[in-house]
Amino acid sequence: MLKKIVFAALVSSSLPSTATTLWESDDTLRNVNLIGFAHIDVAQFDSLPEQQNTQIDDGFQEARVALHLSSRLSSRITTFIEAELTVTEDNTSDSLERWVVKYDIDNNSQISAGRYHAPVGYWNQYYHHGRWLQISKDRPVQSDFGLGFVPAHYVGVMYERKIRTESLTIDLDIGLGQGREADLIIPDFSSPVTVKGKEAFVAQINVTPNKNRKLNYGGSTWVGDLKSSDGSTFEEQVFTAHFRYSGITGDFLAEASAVKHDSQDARGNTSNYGAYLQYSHRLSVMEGRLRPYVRLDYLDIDEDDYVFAGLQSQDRQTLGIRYDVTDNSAIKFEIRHDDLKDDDLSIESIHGQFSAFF
Amino acid sequence: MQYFKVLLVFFLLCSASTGFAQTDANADNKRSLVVIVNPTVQQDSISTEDLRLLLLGDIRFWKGGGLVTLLIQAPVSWERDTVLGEVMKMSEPQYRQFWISKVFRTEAASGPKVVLSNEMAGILVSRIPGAIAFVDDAEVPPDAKVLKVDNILPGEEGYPLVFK
Repeated sequence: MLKKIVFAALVSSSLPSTATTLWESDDTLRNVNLIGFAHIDVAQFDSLPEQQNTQIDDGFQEARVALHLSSRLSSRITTFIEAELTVTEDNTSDSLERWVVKYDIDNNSQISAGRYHAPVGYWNQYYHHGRWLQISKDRPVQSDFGLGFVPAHYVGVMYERKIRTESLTIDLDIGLGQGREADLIIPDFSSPVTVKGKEAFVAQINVTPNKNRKLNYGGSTWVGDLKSSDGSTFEEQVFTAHFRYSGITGDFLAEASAVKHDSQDARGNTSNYGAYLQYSHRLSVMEGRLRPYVRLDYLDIDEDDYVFAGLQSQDRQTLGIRYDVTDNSAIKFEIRHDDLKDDDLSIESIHGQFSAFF
Repeated sequence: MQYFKVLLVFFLLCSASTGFAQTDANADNKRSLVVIVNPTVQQDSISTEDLRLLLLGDIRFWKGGGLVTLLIQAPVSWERDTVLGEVMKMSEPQYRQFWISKVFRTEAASGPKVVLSNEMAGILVSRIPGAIAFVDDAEVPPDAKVLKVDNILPGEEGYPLVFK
């Protein structure tokens, strides 16, 4: 009998599942699990904005591995770590993206502390650095980590609550901490000015109708203080709204956001807006592995916004196709048209990506 | 003539019994999913809605407070197909992506444990505190603790987890 149990446990831990269990205690209450995402990007541009020549070029763009370790420390305490290694033509970087320690109060509520991706907007909260998880090759413009339009990171505490009514399931996240860890760099000066976040409050709500669980809608808000390295201070307010229909064949996601900066020292008050619409359709041919998609991105930056002086208004149209090579790997191709308003420049480009989950 | 009547009655009885046998065979085409749990689980019954939430990882603790350990059959088994298709209304890729995404979003430390057979499910359920598994009614381990679903035991009229 003992041999049977050991065999069963060994076979169980080696079967394909959602995470690889690296270690587990005899009573299964404690464990260490690993999942990882990797992708390689290539692209070809017809023209490039001058100030970005050092960042983007034709050919190889980047290779990135995101490792996600999760561990149950006891029946109620879990910890999660996401670390990332990125290789570009000019640079190799590593970063600790997330580290969260979470306590399960009961089935409907959790409290946690650590470094998070800020729960501002649907994309930030649901895809993180898992390119294989998302249908499209890249994140939307408004949610681009490198751009910093909406806050990317956040250090603090978070309370998560699931509220179930007869007709709705409501997920509520409320957090308090410090935001925008040098997410923004203002380049238009002889020495770059960096903007750092101070105290921040964040709340996100996501609603799922019980009778149609393919629908999600909700929004988030972020209120924080910013201080630039030249001494200016701002209050930042971010509001987002999202709507998603996720069917077996069709998948629609729309999100809009507004970012307001109120200067505390006569630099004025400004408002900036971003939005995107994305639709993908799983074709019935090739065992449903082909998914064409289209996305429209919009970003409107106030010319007088000091904090966003490094950003510019932009429109992007993307037409792409995703092919799931295996159950855990995909190839994506995209054709893009970008209009950069300040540079008065239109860019046509093609992009490719191989992404995998392991 | 008497012989003829006896033969006729015999023939009719045979036909009727064959008919009954066919009816029983039709009934046998339906199989029940039986919910078995570790004996330390204090609950005796679970609702179909709570079963769905448990499969989604939204119920992590039993009513007595113990941690839930979910065991699910490997792909291409009747039990898994039925749990995913009939109870959760999800396709295999959707279910897999759902759990990967859930772990990645830090909502769960790991996904369900995969088992290869009803026998293996029975062994692990008996040994892992708080474990739960779904097995074919024809292969329920003899000493397993079986949960009622909506207060109905498998085999009783109205049991909700009966499928073809």
